[in-house]
Amino acid sequence: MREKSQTQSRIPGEPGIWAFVTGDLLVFSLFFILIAIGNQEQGGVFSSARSTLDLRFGLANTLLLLTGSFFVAIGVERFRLDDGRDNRIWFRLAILSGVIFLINKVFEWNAKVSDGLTPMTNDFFMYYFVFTAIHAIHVFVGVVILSFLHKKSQAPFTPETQRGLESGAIFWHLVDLLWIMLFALFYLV
Amino acid sequence: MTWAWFVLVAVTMLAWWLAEGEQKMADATTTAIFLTAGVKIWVIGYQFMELKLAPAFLRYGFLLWLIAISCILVFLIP
Repeated sequence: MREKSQTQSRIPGEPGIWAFVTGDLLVFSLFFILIAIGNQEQGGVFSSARSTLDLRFGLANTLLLLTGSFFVAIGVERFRLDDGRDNRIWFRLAILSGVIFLINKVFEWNAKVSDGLTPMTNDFFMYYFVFTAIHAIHVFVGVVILSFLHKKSQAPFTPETQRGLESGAIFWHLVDLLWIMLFALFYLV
Repeated sequence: MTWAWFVLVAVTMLAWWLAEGEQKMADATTTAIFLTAGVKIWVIGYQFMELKLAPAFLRYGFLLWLIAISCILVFLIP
């Protein structure tokens, strides 16, 4: 068993993934600010609309993504150990967390639509449906990426494979951290 | 890695408790909610995304973004 040295400073993953992360963070920052401005200008509407959201869905989805991130991080760490173990289980578990998140989201949206609440109802629900949909697309892409990581984790260790795995993992963690702010803005405030 | 997950879950439950409680309408609660979100995002970046190993410009760039967006949101949300 050998452990790859992680003490030397280096950019995790491919540098390009960080360019993507930067761009995505800036775009979502704009979304966050739009939600906050809407909350400021239409406090009553937003407060009333927010009270119709089921906090249990939001909490469950937050815990799912956090746990998925944990599994991915463990998977990458175990890959580096290069001890011949099958690390695919970690990525399978993370894929499962992402799939359950998406199923939850569909149920939640469906419940809102059934109650007559749509993106046309008011600005809160416009932001809610549009931004959680954009985030859900990220989750879907993340699940697809995780399926590639699942296979890649069985490849022999090389620095290139490690960087590829790290890049995919960084995308998944990005999806997780974006949800944390959306959770706060839509469900908690 | 495991400690990071426990911290993230604990802070998530704290934020949920704050949001459910009678303090919901207080400004301090809003600040606390974004503080907990900020702590969680930092832990994800530092530990899971491994910014702890990254060059300083990347780590501090992420921290700068996090502080800036948290301050903007706390300022905007009444």
